[in-house]
Parts: sequence; structure tokens; C-alpha cells
Amino acid sequence: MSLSHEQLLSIGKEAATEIIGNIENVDVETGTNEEGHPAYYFKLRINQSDDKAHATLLRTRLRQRIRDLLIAENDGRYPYVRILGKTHDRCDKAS
Amino acid sequence: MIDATKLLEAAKQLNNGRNGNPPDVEAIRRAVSTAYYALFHALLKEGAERFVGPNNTSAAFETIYRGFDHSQINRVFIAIDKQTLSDSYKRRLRRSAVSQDIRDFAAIFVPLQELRHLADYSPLTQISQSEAADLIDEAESALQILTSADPNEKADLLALMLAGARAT
Repeated sequence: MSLSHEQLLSIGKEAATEIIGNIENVDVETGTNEEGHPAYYFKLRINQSDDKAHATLLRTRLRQRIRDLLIAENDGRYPYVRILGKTHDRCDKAS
Repeated sequence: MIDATKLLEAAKQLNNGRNGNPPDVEAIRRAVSTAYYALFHALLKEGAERFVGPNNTSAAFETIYRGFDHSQINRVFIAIDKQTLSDSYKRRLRRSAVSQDIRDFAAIFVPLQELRHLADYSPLTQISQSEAADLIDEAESALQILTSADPNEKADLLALMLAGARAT
């Protein structure tokens, strides 16, 4: 079963709001991973905690929450979730 | 022996830039790739030490160490990164779900592996220094998780990863 783009965006927003408490932007694309299996590619922009360990834990939980919400919709595609948004005063140079 | 902690230190150095200058795009890519390989080698070491023995320089140790495969590790971690395992995995692992530790490790390893592919091979992919720093932080956390996770649970998963497609 494949979810609509709107449903996927909703899942990203729901998970981020629940786990992180905020969401600036969410985007998602459908594709195949390096193994050739169907997958989702989420990009979430959020405001992260200044506490590195806490921020790391929340990012992990956020990925798991998106995975769980997808499975709850009978969608087993793996969500690759890139989380953008500064944790610290890290200068930000894109490659 | 390849030291995962030192690989992570190398990743941090790459991502920190040099002489007060921010890292160039190639250094950021190498940092992400190196962070992934820190986790990969940590897993391989766990497996070889578990199945052959620690502080081992035997041919068997190297054979087991090199017997792990990126794809098979990926398949197993994706399969167990869920609240309830599939019937097939329940039977093979003799549990209905993996521990939170193992799930956390999987949820860091799998996306980092994908980013490693992009960092190494995709010319259009953009990775910022701050995203790379976050990924390195996650890899560092995953190394700690791997150390503290239940040894028997780790062994069950590592065996599944080694056994290859026949088992999964």
C-alpha cells in the first residue's frame, strides 16, 4: 500500500510535533533505496535542543515514530529521514 | 584492528575544518562516510569477537570479520526497526520485538548508511556541516548503545547478518 503525498506530509508533521514539539518544514519524496527497495525520503526542518545528547535521542525517536506511523497505515516502506536544523552554533556550509 | 572511536574522531576532524576555516564540501562528505564506517567496523568487531573470540589474530577472526555485508546488515536492521517483528523474524530471533537499544542503533545505522552512499557517490546531494555534525553525534551515540546492548540479543542479530539471504 502506498500513501498519498498529503498523507506522508501529515505523518511527518504529526511525528515532529509529537516528538520534537515543532516543525518548520516537511518535504517527502518517494523512491528506491540503494538496495532497490521502495522507500520514502523525508526532509524535516525543525528547531533542535541545544543539548547534543537530547537532540540526538529526539532525532532517533522521530525517525522511529515516522516508521511506526507508516506501519500503522500498513505501509512498510522504510522512511529515510534527514533532519535539518541547527543543534548548536554550528556554522552551516552546504556541500 | 580498526578502532571505531578513532574513526569517529577522524570524522569530527574532517568536519571541523582546518586552520579556523570551515570544511570544504569534500571533507564534509568524507566525514559522513567515515562516521558510517565507524559503526560498520564496530559491528564487525562485535561479530568477530563474539563468534571467534576477543584479541584474536586468527584467520578465522578475519574471515568472520570480513564475512559481513553492507546489504545484509541493512536488510536485517530495516526488518527489526519496528515495534513488533514480522512472524519470520519472531521465529528466527525468538522474541516479538527487539530492545529499545537495538532499535535505536538500527534507526541511526540505516539512514547513516544511505547518507554514506549519497556522500560518496551522488554529486548533487548537499550535506551541510551542521547536518554532518549531527550525524557524527548520532554515530557516537550508537557506538555507546552497541557497547551497552544485551550481548545475547546482539549475537542473535549478528548471526542473522552473517547467515545471509538463506536466513532472512
